[in-house]
Amino acid sequence: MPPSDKDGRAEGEALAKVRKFVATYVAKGAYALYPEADVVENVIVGLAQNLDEHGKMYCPCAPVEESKARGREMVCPCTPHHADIARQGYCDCALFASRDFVSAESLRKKR
Amino acid sequence: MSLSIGSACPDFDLPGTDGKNHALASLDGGDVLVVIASCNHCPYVVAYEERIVRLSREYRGKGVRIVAINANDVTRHPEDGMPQMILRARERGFDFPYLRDDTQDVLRAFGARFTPESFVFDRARKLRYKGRIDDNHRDASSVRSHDLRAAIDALLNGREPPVTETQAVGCSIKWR
Repeated sequence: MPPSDKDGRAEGEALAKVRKFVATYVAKGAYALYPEADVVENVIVGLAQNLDEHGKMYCPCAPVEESKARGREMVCPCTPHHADIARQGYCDCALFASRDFVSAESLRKKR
Repeated sequence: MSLSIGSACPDFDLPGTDGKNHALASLDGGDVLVVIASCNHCPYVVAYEERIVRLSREYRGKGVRIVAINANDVTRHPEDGMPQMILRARERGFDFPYLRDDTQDVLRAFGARFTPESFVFDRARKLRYKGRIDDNHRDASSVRSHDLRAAIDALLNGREPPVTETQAVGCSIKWR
C-alpha cells in the first residue's frame, strides 16, 4: 500500500523502508535523531512519500524536481547534511542532529 | 531560543516586496498581528501559500495583520533573494507584507526554526500563540486542527487561544 495522507500518516512498504534506513543510520552512531518526535515523524512520512512517488528518498525539505536534477545529492542521507549539522546542529530537514545539539536542546527544555 | 508566550514582539524594520520598509510600529492598529517565518523555496511553505493568502483575505477586515518574513541564506539559496520574493508575491497574490531579513537577526529574535512557523500577537503585541498553521500541510481538506485560526479567533473574541504552543513542522530556516 502506498503512503497515504489519510490520518496524516504514511503507510506501507515505503514507510517501513524509510523507518529501517533511519534506524540503521542512527545506530551507526554519527548522528542522533532531531529531538522533536513530531518533526522526525513528519520527515519520515515525507521521505516515504517521495520514495513511493518518485522512487528515491528525496529530501522533503527541497522541491523534488530540483532534487531530481541534482542526482544523488538530495537523496537521504543527502550530501549537504554533514555541513548542515556542523553549521547549525541539525540537517535542513531536521531529521538528523548532532549529539551536542540534542544535549543542548534537552538542557534548554529542562530550564 | 524560541520566544516565550507572553513575550513582546521583537522589533523589526525590514524591506518588503512592495518596495517599502515595514516596521513593527507601522503595523499598529490591528487587534492581532501574525508573523509567519516563510520563504520561497520550501515545499511546506508552497503547500501553505494558498491557505495563508486565504487567511489574510478573510481576516484583513477583522483587524488582523499578517506579515511573512524570509531570512533564508541567499548565498546557499539564491531563490530566496528579494528579486525572487517579488516575483513570488506577485504570482501568488500576496496581499500582506513579505519581508526580507538579510541579517537573519529578526527571525533569530523570534526564535523561529522552521518555515512556515507562525507567531500570533495580541493588540499589546504580546505573544499568544506560536507553532504550526494547522495539522496537515499535505492536504488542506484533511486538516482537523486549525491551530492558527483558532488562536486568531480566540483573540478576536477576547478569549485565550485554546492552545498556545504547537510544534511547527517544515523546512529548517537556512541559517548562515
